[in-house]
Amino acid sequence: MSKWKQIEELYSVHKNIMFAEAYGILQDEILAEDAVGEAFFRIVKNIDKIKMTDSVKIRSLLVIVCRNVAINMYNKRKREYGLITKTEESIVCEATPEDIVIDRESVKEIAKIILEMEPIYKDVMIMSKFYNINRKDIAQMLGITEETVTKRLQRAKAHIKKCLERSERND
Amino acid sequence: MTKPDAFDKALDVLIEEALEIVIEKECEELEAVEKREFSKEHERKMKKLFDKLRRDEWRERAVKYSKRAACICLIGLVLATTSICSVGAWRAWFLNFFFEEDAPNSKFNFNESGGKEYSDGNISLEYVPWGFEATKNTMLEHMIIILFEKDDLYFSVSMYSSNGQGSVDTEDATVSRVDINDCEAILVEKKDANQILWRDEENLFIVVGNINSDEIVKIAKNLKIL
Repeated sequence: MSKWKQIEELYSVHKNIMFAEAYGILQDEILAEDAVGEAFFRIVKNIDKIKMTDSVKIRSLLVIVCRNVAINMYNKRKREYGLITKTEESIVCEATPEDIVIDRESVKEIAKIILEMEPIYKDVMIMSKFYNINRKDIAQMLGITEETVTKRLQRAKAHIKKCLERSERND
Repeated sequence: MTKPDAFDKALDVLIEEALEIVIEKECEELEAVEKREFSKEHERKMKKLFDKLRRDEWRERAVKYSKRAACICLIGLVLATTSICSVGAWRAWFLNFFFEEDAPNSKFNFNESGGKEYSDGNISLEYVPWGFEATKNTMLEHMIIILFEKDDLYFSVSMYSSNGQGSVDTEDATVSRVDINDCEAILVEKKDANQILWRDEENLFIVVGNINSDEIVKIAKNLKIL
């Protein structure tokens, strides 16, 4: 199948779910449509790097990109209106390796931590570790810098360590 | 490997496994949503994007295939040129195809030995050295003289009826006998010109010129009466 036909098909199959995700953040139909269009434009640039045949996993990635585009648009709107936006927190890891015991049972707990994580950290972690997209391409797709991608990955990992340590203490 | 490094590596492996569970859960949550009618403006923008993609893809394909076609044509041209140059018959055909007829009532053809052929309805020269052109053709009742020239070089072919006589100046010349089409010919080689004479039952032939004697002999051997 030619590249443009592949993209057209992706769009027609997944546009509604992408719109639903963007609308959930932006609460505005026109802005949500713009977010869907912008997300597709970014995906198109990197379509060669998305080598998946599983339609469900492709949908998940499209939703991630659309979500981040919507969040960026939301924050930009807030700044334009002079309102304070939620800035990225600097997560400091207080745990040391000696404090944490990890084993196969920790997988479920780590999954739970990731699911509850802020979307901006979770999405970057998923794109990097699950979809194996490199940092430069993640930055392009999400409209952020490579440094921001690196920082978010570090903070996400630090957050997981912190939560694991907290959980150890509670046990 | 230090303990923190080992811990980090182990954590990375577990994170990758945990992400499988995360994606499964996220996909379950992405339930089917209602189909929605997008605005005309949005559909117009998306159509523009897809049209641009289509054009870009066609352009890429056109460039890719035209490069291939150009390579194939170039290889074909090289092979054709090599073949034409190396096979005499093909070379003659190629040159005859592109070169036009010369003087009226005469016809030049290229032959396999690298020279040209000439005929005018009376005489046929199956070998004319390269670059020579027939510049004068004199036809009388008992005589035909054709003059060929190329820059400062010349040769002429003469044919006289059997009553014709010819004389040769052999002063300071080397004289030898040559066989021309089963006839005995006299070859006279001088510093400034060479000539050859012979006769058959009907005619006397003379080829003379300031060209190499080997060429003179070759022209003579390839002379035919029509």
